[in-house]
Amino acid sequence: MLTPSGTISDHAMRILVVEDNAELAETIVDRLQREGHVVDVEGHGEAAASLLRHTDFDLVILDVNLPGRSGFDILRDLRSAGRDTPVLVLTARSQIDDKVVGLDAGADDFMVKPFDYRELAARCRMLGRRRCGAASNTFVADNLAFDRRSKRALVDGRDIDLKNKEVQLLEIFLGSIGAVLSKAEVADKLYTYDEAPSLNAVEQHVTRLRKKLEKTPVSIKTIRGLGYLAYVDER
Amino acid sequence: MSFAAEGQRRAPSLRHRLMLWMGAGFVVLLVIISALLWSYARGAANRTYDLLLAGAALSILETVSAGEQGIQVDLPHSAFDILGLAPQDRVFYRVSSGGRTLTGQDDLVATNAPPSATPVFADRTYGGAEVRTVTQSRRIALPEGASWVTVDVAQTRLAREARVQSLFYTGLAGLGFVSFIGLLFVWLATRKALKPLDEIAQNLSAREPSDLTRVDIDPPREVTGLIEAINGFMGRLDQTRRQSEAFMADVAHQTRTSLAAMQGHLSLAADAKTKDQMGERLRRAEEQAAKTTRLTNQLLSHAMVIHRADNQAMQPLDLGDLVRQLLSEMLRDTAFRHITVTLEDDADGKAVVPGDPISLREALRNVIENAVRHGPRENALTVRLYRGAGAVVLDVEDEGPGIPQDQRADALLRFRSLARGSDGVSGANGSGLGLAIVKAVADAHGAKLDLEAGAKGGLLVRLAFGGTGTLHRPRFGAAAAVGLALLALSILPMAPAQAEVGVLEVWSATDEPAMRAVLDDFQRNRPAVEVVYREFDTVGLHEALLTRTDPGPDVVISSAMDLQVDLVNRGLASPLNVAAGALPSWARWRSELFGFTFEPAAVIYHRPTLAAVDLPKSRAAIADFIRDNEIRFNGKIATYDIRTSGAGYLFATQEAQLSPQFFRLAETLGRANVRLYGTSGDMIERTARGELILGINVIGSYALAAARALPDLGVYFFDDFNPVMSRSVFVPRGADDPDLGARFVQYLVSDAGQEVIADASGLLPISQAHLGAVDVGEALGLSQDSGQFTPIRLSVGLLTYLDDAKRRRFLSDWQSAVQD
Repeated sequence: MLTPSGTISDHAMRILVVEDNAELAETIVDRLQREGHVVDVEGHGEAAASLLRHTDFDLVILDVNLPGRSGFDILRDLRSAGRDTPVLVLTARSQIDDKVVGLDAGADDFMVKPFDYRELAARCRMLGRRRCGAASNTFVADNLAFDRRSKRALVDGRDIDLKNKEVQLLEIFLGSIGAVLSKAEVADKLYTYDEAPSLNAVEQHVTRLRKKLEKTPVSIKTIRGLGYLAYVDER
Repeated sequence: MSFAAEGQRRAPSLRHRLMLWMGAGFVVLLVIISALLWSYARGAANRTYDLLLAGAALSILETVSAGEQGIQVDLPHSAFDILGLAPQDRVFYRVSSGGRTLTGQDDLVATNAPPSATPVFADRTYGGAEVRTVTQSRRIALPEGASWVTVDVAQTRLAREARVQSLFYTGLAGLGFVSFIGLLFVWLATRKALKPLDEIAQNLSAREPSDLTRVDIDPPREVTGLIEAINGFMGRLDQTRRQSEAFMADVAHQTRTSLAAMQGHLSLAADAKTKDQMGERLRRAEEQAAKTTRLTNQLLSHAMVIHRADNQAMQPLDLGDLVRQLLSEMLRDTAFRHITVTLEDDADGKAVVPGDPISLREALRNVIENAVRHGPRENALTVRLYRGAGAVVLDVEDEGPGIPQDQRADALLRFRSLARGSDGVSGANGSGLGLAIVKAVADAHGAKLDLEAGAKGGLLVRLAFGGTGTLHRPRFGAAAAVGLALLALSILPMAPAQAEVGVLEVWSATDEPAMRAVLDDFQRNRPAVEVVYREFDTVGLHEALLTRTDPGPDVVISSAMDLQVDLVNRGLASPLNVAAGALPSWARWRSELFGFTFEPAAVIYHRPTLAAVDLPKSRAAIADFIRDNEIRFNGKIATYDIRTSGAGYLFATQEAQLSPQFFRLAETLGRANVRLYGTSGDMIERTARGELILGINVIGSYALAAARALPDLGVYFFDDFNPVMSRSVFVPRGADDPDLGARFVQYLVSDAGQEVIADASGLLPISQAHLGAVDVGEALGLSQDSGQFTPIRLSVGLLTYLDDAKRRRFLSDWQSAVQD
């Protein structure tokens, strides 16, 4: 069970919920506020788009069916303006098609209505962590702290000795935490153009990194045949 | 269900199919019969025309005799007359003995077979033309012993081919008509036979939507199966309808029950006495809400895949990509944190199947969710993709409790999970629709769905796409109908633009003054055309054409019809596209040789001398008349020297054929010391002067023209018959300007040309319209049709007297008669 606690509020975000159904919006807002986030609500598509143009949010929860302007339109505008604000799209199941599924429209994640509120909160935290680390240069999850600038990772305040590639790997995983990365994608990001990427080497680096993160809430899950999924175990 | 409705075309109707197949059958029959017919027509035409050939050969053979100078051949006129029955064909012959040519074409050797009295026929090429030949021999007793004489006769195949085609096309037209009638009956029979189907259609379309009773029709035997199938289908439809009614009832029941339970928990929570009690009630209500949500999702999902199965076209998609994408998405869900997921893609990127991606994702999502929901917390899930037995197989295996074998079939049915759940064992989380959705999607994709036991006791869900045992294979597109398009291109022959510039070279055995007016008139409308006129005598012209090496003339004109026919028979003339409708049939041969004048043999006399004498009006009487006045006419009668004059020889040979008294007249003339001249002009001139008093067989046109200027010259024609010759013209092969030549020929036979010939040339026109108007003085009026003028036909018959042996014999007979 999650309760509002200091650790969570460390990651308090400014969230915009764009949802025209007042009842649903209220429950979402209530849930997120209880987790310590600052939440704005907007029910009209055009107004939401305008708001997004002028205000910077840490996370946007965006319904697709909106009066005034479709959620996809808003998202497309946001991305074409060069903004990388994480966006979680809410959709009805009948709208699942490749546009959303492939996250081609630029969404970072999507959930199908009706959804589990705990799952929504978890996904929001996950997206928040990606954003948070990138913005502040410091990623903190329980006893793990990672400073991007100094390339140092501390567990329980002690520096764990990360090799060069392991630091890069950690950065890659923390940057897409909660999402599946294929081995090839990891290799692409890990190796420069001149280096010969080796999938075996990736595996070895991951194994070593995983060992060094054993005592932390950050897990790197291997999905054989598919890739890796890094996540923060919040329990 | 049709999964590719957009790509399908209507199947061809039974009627069309029957007509098509019967039509094809008729075509095959027609082709076979046509081949037979062609061979029959060929045989029949050959039989007919072989008779002509054989007749000609036989009649030649019959005239072969042993004479003092060895073997004598007297070519019978009948032989060529027989062959002339094929009027367009050219004729070649050779009479030989022991390889030595007695007469005819040296190079015509039809066969190397030993001589035989039986006619032997063969097809071969002679002088560049397809010919049919007959070879027949006869033994002749000679002083030195018996010897074979062989006759080869060759005839071009035009008449035969025409006959073959006529027989063939007549037969074919009949066949076509019969086929048409046949197809008509096929059509009628089809209509009649398919009537019961229309009745069935009416019966079915007249029904209420709810009427699913049996079709009550007494069908013909052939459609009994169809009716039974329809009735069976009706039965199943009825059952399905009942099932779906039951399903609706189930859905209503499940949804209401679920909502009622949630409402119950909530109202209990509202009435709760303590906070703990309320919390517990709310937790239960939330659980119930989750279940209701899932139930609703599944119901909608089920409805969606059923709907899409009916309405979506399949598209080729890569199952590997689809699985990877779906897993990546699903793994974001925190519910998967403790589940080991393995993807084994052994399809090597070749897992492309036709499918609807949305339905397939839904199905796969349900399989995976099922595994997670029913399995332990630390479940292991293996998704395997591989190819096997022509199918793309997708396995999803878990390490959960699995489904006992006897319940697997049931598990695919709707609400089974809930039904089991009612006994409180495993239905707590199941909507009972998950596997039913998978089943519906599998059916829509023609895929085989199997539930098996996994390696670690879990459930293995196997979907095999496109393998054997597929019931409904999705179809893509429709079989393309094969249509035959016949493109008929008719290219109209383009008439060359009138070349008004050119040189027309005329080789002619006609005095230039006679032709001058005609040539001038021809040039009048063609001022840039220059005419070169070369004059020959008839024999010289014939020789010149046979021996010419340079292109030579553009047109050849001669009064010697036999020599002209000989040249054409040798293939020296070009076929012309000349409108010669005004010409009588005897004056044209093979659209190559055209007669353009009408020149009867006439009698001329010195009017002052014979003024008081009643001249005989018939050929039969003239011999008697001369004999009776032998002294008076002694040395004063003239006729052609047929040894030097082509026209004279022509008149004489024709007269010999027409009149049995020819040699009697010749003898009479001989006794009267007839004087022989090479040209009509000589005779006319001397007669007009009174040096001669009678001329027989003078060219009538010259005589009539001269009589108009010379009052002392009398001209008349016999009452009984007068041979008529016609000056003929052809365009030789290899002419410099054949088009100009053809235009000149066209001009000669045209009305304009004939008019000039009639009015200004001194020749007589062949066109009856102008011929009838010619002033003939007191002579018999000229006519094509009176029967008193006997035209010499342009035909192979003229070749008879050109035969060397025949000619020698005829001349020697004539000579001995007139110079006795």
